[in-house]
Amino acid sequence: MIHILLILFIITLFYFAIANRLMTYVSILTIQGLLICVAAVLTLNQITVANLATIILETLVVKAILMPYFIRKVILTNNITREAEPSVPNYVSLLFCTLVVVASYFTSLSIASPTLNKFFLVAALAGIFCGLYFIATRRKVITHVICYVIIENGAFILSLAIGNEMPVLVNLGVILDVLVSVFLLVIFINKVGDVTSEGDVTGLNQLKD
Amino acid sequence: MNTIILSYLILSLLLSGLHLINKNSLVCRILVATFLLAQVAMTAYIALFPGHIDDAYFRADGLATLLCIVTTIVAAASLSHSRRYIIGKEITDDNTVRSQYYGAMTALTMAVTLASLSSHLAVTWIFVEITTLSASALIFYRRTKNCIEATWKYVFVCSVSLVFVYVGILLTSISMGREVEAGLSFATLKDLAASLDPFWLQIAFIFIFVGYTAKMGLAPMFTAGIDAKDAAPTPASAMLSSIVMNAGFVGFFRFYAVVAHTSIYHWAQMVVVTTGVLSIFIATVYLVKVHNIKRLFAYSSVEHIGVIMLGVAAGGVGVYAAILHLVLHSFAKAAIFMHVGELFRIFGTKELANMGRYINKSGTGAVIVILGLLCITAMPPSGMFMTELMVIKSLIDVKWWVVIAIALILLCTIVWAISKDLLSMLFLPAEGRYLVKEPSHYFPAYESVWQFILLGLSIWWGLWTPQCISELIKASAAILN
Repeated sequence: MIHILLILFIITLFYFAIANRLMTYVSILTIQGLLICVAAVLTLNQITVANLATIILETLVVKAILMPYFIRKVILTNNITREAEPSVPNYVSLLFCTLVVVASYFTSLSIASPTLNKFFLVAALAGIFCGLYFIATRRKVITHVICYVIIENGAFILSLAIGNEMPVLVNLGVILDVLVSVFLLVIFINKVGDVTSEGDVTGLNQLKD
Repeated sequence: MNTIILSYLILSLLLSGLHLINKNSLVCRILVATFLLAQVAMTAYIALFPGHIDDAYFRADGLATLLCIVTTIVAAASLSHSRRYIIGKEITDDNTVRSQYYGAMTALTMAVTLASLSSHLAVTWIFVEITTLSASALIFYRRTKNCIEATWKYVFVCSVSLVFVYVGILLTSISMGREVEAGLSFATLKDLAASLDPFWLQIAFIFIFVGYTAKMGLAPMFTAGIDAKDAAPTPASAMLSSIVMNAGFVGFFRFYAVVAHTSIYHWAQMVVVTTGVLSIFIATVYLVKVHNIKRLFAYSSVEHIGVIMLGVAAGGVGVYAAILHLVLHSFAKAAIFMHVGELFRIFGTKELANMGRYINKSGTGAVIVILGLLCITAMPPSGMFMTELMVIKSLIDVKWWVVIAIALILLCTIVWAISKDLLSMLFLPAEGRYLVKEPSHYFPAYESVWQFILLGLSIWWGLWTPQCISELIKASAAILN
């Protein structure tokens, strides 16, 4: 079951590589949030109620509902063009994501660690590196925020790979920081949109030596 | 959690929140004064009762105490300086902007203080992340296009970097293997150092180190900090180039102390020294051709943190020198950044080419610039001269001749580059045109008191380090042993 969820997570990355519309990206975030929520609940079986609550809060409420909601709202209120406009052709992105997944697979295979679940590691590495790649190849600032959340999702899966739980207090701090940083980034997109048309990063090149 | 820490945290958050809803300037002053009082009380408690704060998440050791003292002094100076800075601006008629500014300053100081006190890998991360969030409100202060750009870059680069740190923390728990139940406090990690898996620890170190470079202003993630220090109001730039860098340093240094007890220590030293040399190199390249005085000081911070990394990597007396250098740099850089506000009031520009004959315009200001120049270029009688000398000595001890040669050439170039720019601003007429301001715009000499105090501390603590401070630095350096 867990393996199916992780494979679905990797498929969402492939889908992200070839998707053309911003709203598709936002839907992918919701799907990823749900996937990691179910994966977390299934993996961490010996878990206290408080930790279960924080994990559901982090994945279901924050990552699957709140963040996509904020981002969707920003896209609508700022009249950002719905085309994602990647700066490289989609098939190149798809090829790159495939290479990342294959590389993560072989890296994970080559690592011998008794405490580590290798399948989680493949999905986590793929999520983190594909997210970085998407940031580098997309021009709109809103897609950068979306990709930042994908990297966060990758990091979350990595924490599942280890299978240990952080204390509730620490977990809450982490959630709060992630939520606030996305919230802040979203606020700034409103401001960036005032200055540059379409919230395109190519307008943000004034500061230099 | 310790009750003192908890009350300090709640009080700071409360005061920060009250700033946001407050519109009255008198209430604003009362809130700032209350926070400063709490900050001083907290620092005094830590300094006078060492060992009282010691639990799973926070521990007041030598390094924490030292950095709390520095944070309190710099924050007090910046907050007092903000009053003058903010009164002079039309924008402050807008109470919301002022409230956000003071609210963010309060949160930033609190986050840096608690990041220094934290004894848990993840808790340090949380408070360093809060510095990003509060600093972004400060950088955004003027609401201009450049501020938006700088804020955006800062938030984004720092958030992604801190995700790296988070991944590093997870990788550290992988390296713990079956011992993972013991938790991630620095003391536990140190005890388990011998049993940590070197392969995972190496990857974790790279992630954590690269992540914290965004805060420290070190290569490779230094860019966001430069833009931020350029765009932020000067009291905020003073905080960003001093105590926020210290927060990044403490996050790195405590983890480095864990690594120092493992088999990958030598490798980690190589990584740190390479980054240090690279940072000094980058700073030199930019300083030679810089046009903007705030960016000049920001790149100078990149150089200093590079020197600090050389000291940390060399070990021995170098670690003591590095920590003292960090403290002295915080004071000197905060003072000089605060003075940029005054320069801007007189010349109406940040472009070096449009500033000239400053000595004729303000005697007090010229003294500060000269003292600041001596401090940041580490020339005698600056305390940083002594610390750089000690860093070089520690490099000689470990026989890293190539590093010494490169560092000395680059540091000499930096002295030339900074002196050329600042001395021509002081004594030569401006090349370009500047707005001639009425003398009524000039600041009264007493406004510079804090700058003299900070520069004085930087020289005094460098040349005649007080016994208690010296003990604290020794205790901080001892974390590595």
